Amino acid sequence: MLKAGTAARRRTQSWETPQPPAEVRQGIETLLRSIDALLQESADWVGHIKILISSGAETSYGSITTAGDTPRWSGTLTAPISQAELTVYAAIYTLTDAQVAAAVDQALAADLFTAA
Amino acid sequence: MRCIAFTGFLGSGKTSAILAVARALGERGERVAIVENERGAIGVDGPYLESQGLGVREISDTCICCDIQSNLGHTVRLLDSLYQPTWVLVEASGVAHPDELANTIEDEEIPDTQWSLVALIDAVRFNKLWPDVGGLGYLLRWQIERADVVLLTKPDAVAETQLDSVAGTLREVRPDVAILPIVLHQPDAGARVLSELEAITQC
Repeated sequence: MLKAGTAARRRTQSWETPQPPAEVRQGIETLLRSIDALLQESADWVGHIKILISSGAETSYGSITTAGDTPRWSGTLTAPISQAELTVYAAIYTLTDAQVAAAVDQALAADLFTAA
Repeated sequence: MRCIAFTGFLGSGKTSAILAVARALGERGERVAIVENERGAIGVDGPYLESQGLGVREISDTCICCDIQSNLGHTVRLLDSLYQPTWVLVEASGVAHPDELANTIEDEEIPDTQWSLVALIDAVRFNKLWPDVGGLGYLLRWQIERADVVLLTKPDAVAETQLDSVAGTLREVRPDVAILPIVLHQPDAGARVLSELEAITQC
């Protein structure tokens, strides 16, 4: 059976001042690209990396599906956000759980979106 | 009860397809249940579908095609007893083998259900997957082999010549299969999928 290494992380993100949706989306896309770059150190990967953001009132997610992909979005964010729950989910064919988790954790540690 | 199992690679558009079809069925007044099968303890698809107003039952960290063969049947029966849905939409995990999934469905023999398998083939990544690096092309071929309908997703992101090339390759594998190029975020996407399924059911 074909395997896919997976990693998922959920955390709460808070901002001192409400962030415009475009800024939040840009931050998520930065995080997606960061995970992508780290995974590319292991493989020209195929899979799915999704970052779900839920502000309570609105939910949306950005995702990429292959190395070097351009982020796509499902759902919309319209209102400024001061606190949100972020779920990062990555499932990558032919890599191990440990390899995927390492990339996700390294990107989260370095990125704009860190635990509140 | 009609049941549709959606197969396809991680990122091929299964969740978007289910959302589109569920909305189209909702507009018809149908009762819809969704079964999610994500890898890992923390999921994204289930919570996202729930945020869109849909009820979801998750089978997490397993694969419905093989790891727990009885669970899919159990879940569908449970949904039937609790909610009496007229339609059940099942999202297979991105590693589910379509042949084993089809066998599971046949073995379960759930009374009064009609199953369809819909394969989502990503036009953007097709040429990367088809050469069968790491067994990906093998799985892709089986997705085509066992599908009642193939949804060729992300057609708006590739040139028309590439789309024709992918469709041509699909036809070499399955000359008779229904192929529907579809942008899943378009408002009529769900209705188009249902029309295609109903057309082949009537044949």
